Amino acid sequence: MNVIRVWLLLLTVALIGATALVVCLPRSLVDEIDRDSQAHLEHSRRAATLLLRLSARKRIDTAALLASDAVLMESLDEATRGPPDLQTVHRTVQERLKVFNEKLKAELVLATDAHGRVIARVGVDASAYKDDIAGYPLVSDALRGLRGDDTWALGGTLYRVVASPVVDRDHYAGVIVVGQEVTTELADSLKKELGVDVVFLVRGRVIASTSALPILDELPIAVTPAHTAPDAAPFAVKGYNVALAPFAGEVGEEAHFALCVPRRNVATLPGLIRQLASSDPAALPLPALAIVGGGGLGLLLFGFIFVSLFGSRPAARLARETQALSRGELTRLPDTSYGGSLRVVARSVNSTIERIGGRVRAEQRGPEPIAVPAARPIAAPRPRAIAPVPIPVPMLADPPTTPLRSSKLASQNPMLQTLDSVPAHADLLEAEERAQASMSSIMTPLPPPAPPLFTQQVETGHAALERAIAQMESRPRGFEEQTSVESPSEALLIASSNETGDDIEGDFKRVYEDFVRTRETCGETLEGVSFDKFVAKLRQNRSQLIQRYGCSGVKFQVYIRDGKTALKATPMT
Amino acid sequence: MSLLTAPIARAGTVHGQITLPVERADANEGVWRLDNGLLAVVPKGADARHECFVLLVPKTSVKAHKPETVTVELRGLRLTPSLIAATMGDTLELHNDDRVPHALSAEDLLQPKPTPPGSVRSEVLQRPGVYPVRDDEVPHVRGWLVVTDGGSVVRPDEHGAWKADVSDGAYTAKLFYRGTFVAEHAVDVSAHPAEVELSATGGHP
Repeated sequence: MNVIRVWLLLLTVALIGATALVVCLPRSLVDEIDRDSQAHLEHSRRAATLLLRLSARKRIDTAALLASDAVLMESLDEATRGPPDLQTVHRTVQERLKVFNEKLKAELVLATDAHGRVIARVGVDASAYKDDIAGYPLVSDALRGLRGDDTWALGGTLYRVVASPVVDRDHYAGVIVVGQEVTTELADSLKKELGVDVVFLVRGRVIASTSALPILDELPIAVTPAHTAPDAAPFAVKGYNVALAPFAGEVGEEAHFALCVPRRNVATLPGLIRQLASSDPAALPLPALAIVGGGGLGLLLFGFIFVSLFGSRPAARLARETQALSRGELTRLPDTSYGGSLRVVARSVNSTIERIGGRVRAEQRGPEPIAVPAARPIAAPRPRAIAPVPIPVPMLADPPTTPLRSSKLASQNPMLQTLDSVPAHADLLEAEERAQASMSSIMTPLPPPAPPLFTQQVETGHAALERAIAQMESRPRGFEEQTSVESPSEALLIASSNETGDDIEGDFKRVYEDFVRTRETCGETLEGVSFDKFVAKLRQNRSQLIQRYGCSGVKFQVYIRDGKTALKATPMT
Repeated sequence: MSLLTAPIARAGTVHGQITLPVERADANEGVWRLDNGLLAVVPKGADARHECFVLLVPKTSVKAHKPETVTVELRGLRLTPSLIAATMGDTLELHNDDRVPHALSAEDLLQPKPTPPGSVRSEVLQRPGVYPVRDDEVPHVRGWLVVTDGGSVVRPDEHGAWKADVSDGAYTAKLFYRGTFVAEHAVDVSAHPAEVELSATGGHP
C-alpha cells in the first residue's frame, strides 16, 4: 500500500506540475513577452521620434542651402517689392526650384516673398501662385528669420516640411519651403532602422505602411484619444502590439505614426500543432508527438493497472474472503496471498481467530487433567506443592453475574451451569466479548445469551444451605468435562493444609461457625439453620465428592459473594 | 468687427489698459526653430488685438439687441479675427478667401461644414457661450467664438489700450483672454471718463 501511496503521490505531483506548466507557464511567458514587446515598442517610439527629428534637421539644412541661391534672393526680393510683371518673376523662381528639385526629389517645393505670398511652386499645385500662406506657423516663423520644420496635411496627404528664410543682404526677402510626402518609403526606412512595422495615419485613415499588415483596417478604429497621447502605453490590436505617437507639428493631433510588432505566441503543443497543420502539415513532428502522447497514455495506463493490481483488487478480495469467513465458508484467511498491509490485516485476523478458537477449545476440552492420576494417592498435606499452579477444581460458588454469551460453551461445560462464577470464567467471557467486538465481521454471531442458571442467592440460611448442597450434588459426573480451572486462594490452601481425617468434624464445625458468622455479618437470617443439619449435609457432600472424584478430601469454605453468604467445596488431593 | 453697444442716452467714456502675460512657448513642441545665422530674427511681439477683448456688461437691463452680421475672414490661412465676439441672434459670416477649403467648427454651435475657396458660410448664433473654433482642413487655424446675451465688446489696440463710449451707468468690465474671462472690474460711467486696469497675468486657461 505504501508503494501505491507513493505512486499516487508521484502521479499527482506530476499531473499538477504538468498542468501548471501547460497553464501557467505559457501565460507567464506570453505576459513577459508582451511586456518585452511593449518595452521594445516604447524604445522604438522614442527612436522613431529622434530619427524623424534628425531627418528634419538635415532637410532644414537642405532648405537653407536652397535659400542661399542668389537668383532666388533677387527674384523674391523683386517679388516683395511688387513688380509690374509678377509672372516673369514666377517663372524665374519656378525654374530655379525645378533645378534644385531634380536632386531633392521633393514632392513639395515653394517660394514666397517677404509677405508670405507664394511666388512659385514645384510639385504639388505647380501652377498655383500668388496665394498667401503666411498663416502657416512654419512660414510666419521663417518670415521672422527662423528655420524650422513642420508637418502639413494637404488634401489628405501628409507632408514633412521644412522652411528657411531667404536673406537678401540686410532683410528677409522671402521663404523657401521644401516638403516630402509621408509614404511607404519613409515607413520602410524607419522599419530598417527600428525593426518594427510602421503605419502612418491621418485623421483616422491609413496613408502608408511598411507592409500589408492584417491590422490596417482595425487600427484606425482601435485608436482612441488615450492612445494618441505622446507617452501612451502600447496597446494590442488583433495579434499586434501597437505604439502610437503623434507627428511633430501642427497636425500633431490628427497625424500619427504607429509602430507595430506581432504578439508572439508561446509554442504550446496545441498552438504548435495548429500552426503547423495550417501552414506546413508535412512538418508536423508526428513521431515525437506519438512518443509523447503514447508515453503519457502508457504511463497513465500503467498507473491504473498498478493501482488495480496492488491496491483495489487485493482489498476487494480481502473483503470477499472476510465475508466468506464470517459466513463460515473459510476457517482462516489466506494471508500469504496478500502483500503489504493487507497481509498484516489477514494475519491479524487469523491470529485472532486462532486465539479465540483456542479458548473455545479449552472450554470445550475442560480443565487439564490433574497432574497426578486420581488413582494415585497423594499425600494430603501437599497443597503447597500444587498451590502455585492452577488446579482444576470443581467449585461451589454463586452463579456468574454475567451470563455466558455462548450457549454452546455453556451447554458443553456443565460446570458453568452449576457452579458459581469463577475468575477463569470471567477471563474467558471477557476474551470472548473482545473477540466478538473486534472480529464481529468474521465471527458467526453468537446466539442469544442463555438465561442465567442462578438468578438469586439463598434468601435464607436454610435455603442457602440447601441450594449450596444441591449444587454440589448436581455437579457433573465427568471430571474432565465438567471442571474449570481456578487458582485456590491462599487462605484456602492454608486451611486445607491442616485438614486430616481426624479433624473433619472440627472442620465442619469451623465451617458452620464461619457460615453462621458470615451470615450474621451480611445481615442474613439464620432461621432454619442448625449445626447438625449443616454438618450432615457437608458430610454427605464430602462423601459424594470423594467418591466421584477420587480425591482424598474436600475443603469447604465460606465466603461472601455480592453481599451474601456462599459456600464452596474444593476437592483436595 | 462690430461693436455691440446699447442705445446711448447720455454718452460717457471708459478706457483702460490691458496687461497680458509673457507669451507662452509654442504649443507645437518637437519641431525645430533655428536662427538663420545671417540676420537677426524679428521678435514675435504679442498683439493684444488677437489675444483679448473687453466686454462691458451693464448692471441694469438693456434694450433688446438688434441682430447684426459678424464677418470673419479666412485669408492667408489665418482666421481674422481669431477672437470672434457676437451677441445671441447675430449672424456669423465666414468668408473663405484662401485657395484651399476650410471647415470651421465650434463644438455643438457650429458643425464642421466645408467652406470652399471664395465662398461664404453664414450661421445664426442661437446660444450664448464660449466656443473654441477649429478648422478640420487646416489645423493651425484656430480661434474663439464668444456669444453673449448683451453688453458691448471693446477691442484693444496692439498695445492693450482700449476705449469705449457707452451710456452712463454702472458696468462690469470683463477681460476675455485665451478662452475665458480672466478678470473683471466694476466701473461707473458718467460725465467724467472712467479708467479701468485689467490684467490677464493673474491666470489664463
